[in-house]
Amino acid sequence: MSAEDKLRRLLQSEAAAVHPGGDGLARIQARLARRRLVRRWLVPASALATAGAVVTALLVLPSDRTGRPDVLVPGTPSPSPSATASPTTAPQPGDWAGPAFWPYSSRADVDTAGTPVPDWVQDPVEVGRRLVRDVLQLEGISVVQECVSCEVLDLLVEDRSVGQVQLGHYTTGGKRVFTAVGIEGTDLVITWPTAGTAVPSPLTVRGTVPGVDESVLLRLVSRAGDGLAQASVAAGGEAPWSGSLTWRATDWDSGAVLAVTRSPKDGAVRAIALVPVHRGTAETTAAFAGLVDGHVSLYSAVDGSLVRRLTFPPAGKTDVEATWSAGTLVWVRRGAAGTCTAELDRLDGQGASTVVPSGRASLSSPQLSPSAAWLAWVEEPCGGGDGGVLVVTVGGTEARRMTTPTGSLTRVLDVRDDGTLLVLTNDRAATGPGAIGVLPARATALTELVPLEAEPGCYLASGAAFDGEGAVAFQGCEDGTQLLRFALSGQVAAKDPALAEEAPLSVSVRDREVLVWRNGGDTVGAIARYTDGRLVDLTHPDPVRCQSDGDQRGCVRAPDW
Amino acid sequence: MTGGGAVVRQDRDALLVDTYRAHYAGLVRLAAFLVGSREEAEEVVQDAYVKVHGALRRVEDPEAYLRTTVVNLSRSRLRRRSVAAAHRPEPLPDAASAEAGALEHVQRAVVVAALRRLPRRQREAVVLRYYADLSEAQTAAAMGCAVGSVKSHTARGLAALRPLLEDAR
Repeated sequence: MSAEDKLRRLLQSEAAAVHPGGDGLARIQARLARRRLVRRWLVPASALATAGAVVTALLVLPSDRTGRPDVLVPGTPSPSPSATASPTTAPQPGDWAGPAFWPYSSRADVDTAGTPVPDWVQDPVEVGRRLVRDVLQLEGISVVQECVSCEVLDLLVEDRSVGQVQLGHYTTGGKRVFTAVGIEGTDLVITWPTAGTAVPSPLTVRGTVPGVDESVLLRLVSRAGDGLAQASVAAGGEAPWSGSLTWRATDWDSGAVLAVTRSPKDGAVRAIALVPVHRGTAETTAAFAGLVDGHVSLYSAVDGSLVRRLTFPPAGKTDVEATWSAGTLVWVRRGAAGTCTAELDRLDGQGASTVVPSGRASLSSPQLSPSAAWLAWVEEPCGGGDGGVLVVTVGGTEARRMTTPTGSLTRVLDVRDDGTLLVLTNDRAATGPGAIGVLPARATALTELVPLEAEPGCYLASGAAFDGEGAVAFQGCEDGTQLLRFALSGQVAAKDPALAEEAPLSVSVRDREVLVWRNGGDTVGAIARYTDGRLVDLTHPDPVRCQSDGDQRGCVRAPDW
Repeated sequence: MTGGGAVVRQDRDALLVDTYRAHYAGLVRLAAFLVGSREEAEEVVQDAYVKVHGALRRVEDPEAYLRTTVVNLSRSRLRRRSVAAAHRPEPLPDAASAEAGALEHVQRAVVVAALRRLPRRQREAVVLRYYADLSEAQTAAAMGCAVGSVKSHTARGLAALRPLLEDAR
């Protein structure tokens, strides 16, 4: 028997020992069903009835540009007036609530453009065609609707798919208008930034692409179709690619990072990926929020200096927890000492508002997603017990989308722009470090938590955060601490070098930069940036007063960015 | 509009069931050679079905299309693993018993362990050629490379395994 025949026989024999589980088809069907449903989440009517005015964003795009794609700005004349259309700003069931790119980057853009709406935005294929031709300026691509109702468009070059435009829709004036929320579907993948990220300049874009000798063209495109930055990156082989985009323009709010590969033979587009982003300002990308003396202030992430005070609690009330993302602050304001009352408040470009009015309940661990579209927190009855719920909202401060019962002491550690949560659970007595896990966006019970686990002999500290592609958390071991990077599946993807100190109290990540609240040694209570495997202190608190049993005056705590 | 969508979806869902029944198990076995475990192989193949679901109706050879996607997704899966894990030596099998079946089991495990240590492209070429029994042209299509590359990767992979195969006679 030849070596080849022997190899064939051994491989067949080995393969015969692999028995697939019997639930493969059900799992595939469930995932396809979830994909169909993801844009059709029902908004409880009761929540909508109480929804306040939808936040509207001012568009800075000039309306008289020539040679520009159709961007809907205030005052845009409608080509097809509709006598029956009646303006509405209330989101309808199934309306898109996540980050989007073009022609609408958010529900607010739809409201700003007003009604009646042009015919072409009601035609998903036409939206796709104009996106490719006018905004992305890509040639030789035909746009085909994959199926009649699934809001996915295939981008084809000579019958070969080079990407799929994912669409979302908004309902306005009784009509459904479409917007592109991303392009994916090929092996060209942008892993950073993720959708909805507030991007600063310079921006490091990361991704993967198979192949040996690829060239990835990166562009940052504004919603108005302006090319803001461009770079070309050599890629391929086993390593992920990364490239830097730098821009100076500040007259844009929303845009997208575009990656394109082309055939070296004829230059035809081979793969396209697109992720919607919005512009990060100096303040939103270089500052963190912290609690100090019962209020929230903003601090420089460069030197820890005070930027400005953000909240001013009335006498007898104290701000105890806060989350800061994309220029939006949400915080818990607690009632007088000894009473169990709390409210959840919000401050953004539109001013202050109340998310949960003051009542007899314990509110804790609010967390905003990077784009500030998602907000999650935990509500528990006064006195504890098992009646707590984990609340997740998206698309508006009062639009409750999901509540999950919490049978144990639960804290939200972070939330992504797709609604995935990072959660800490513990027993009532909090006798151990607790369990940290990833809770999928559509989970309905904490039993669906995908646990993140420390290595044997170590424990995961209570701080953890999403870092775009996965999650990061510090593990504490006998000889120090080290940062673990987890995939969302719970597997450890990478491990940083060990540091000879205790694991930090909290972790916050923005644009892959890690901010920690240190715990232990002479630097107890310091807020530090974790850079190149080292901690660089931004604040230098009093090592005696800022201990947990100190008087805490002047100590900046619980940083978030 | 909704009705049309439902018809399209019904067609696609029926096609999904057909292609699942025809190819799922074989693709899982193929992926198991590429990613190393049955559980991960199932995830990869399920990913592939979800990914190509919308396009299945348009392709002439759904099996080849799925196979190419499985190979690509297996590569992505391996790329995400840490270098250390990817190169961790496979544990040697337990000591052989005197029984012929057990002996073959040990020989098989040794060869499969060596197969998994091959460079990725050589492993893909060997598995597609000698397990999936594809032609060089079909293997090239699945790997997204030229036929000449397939010949080269296959020859190198086979050369690395040949001493073990000769021992196994």
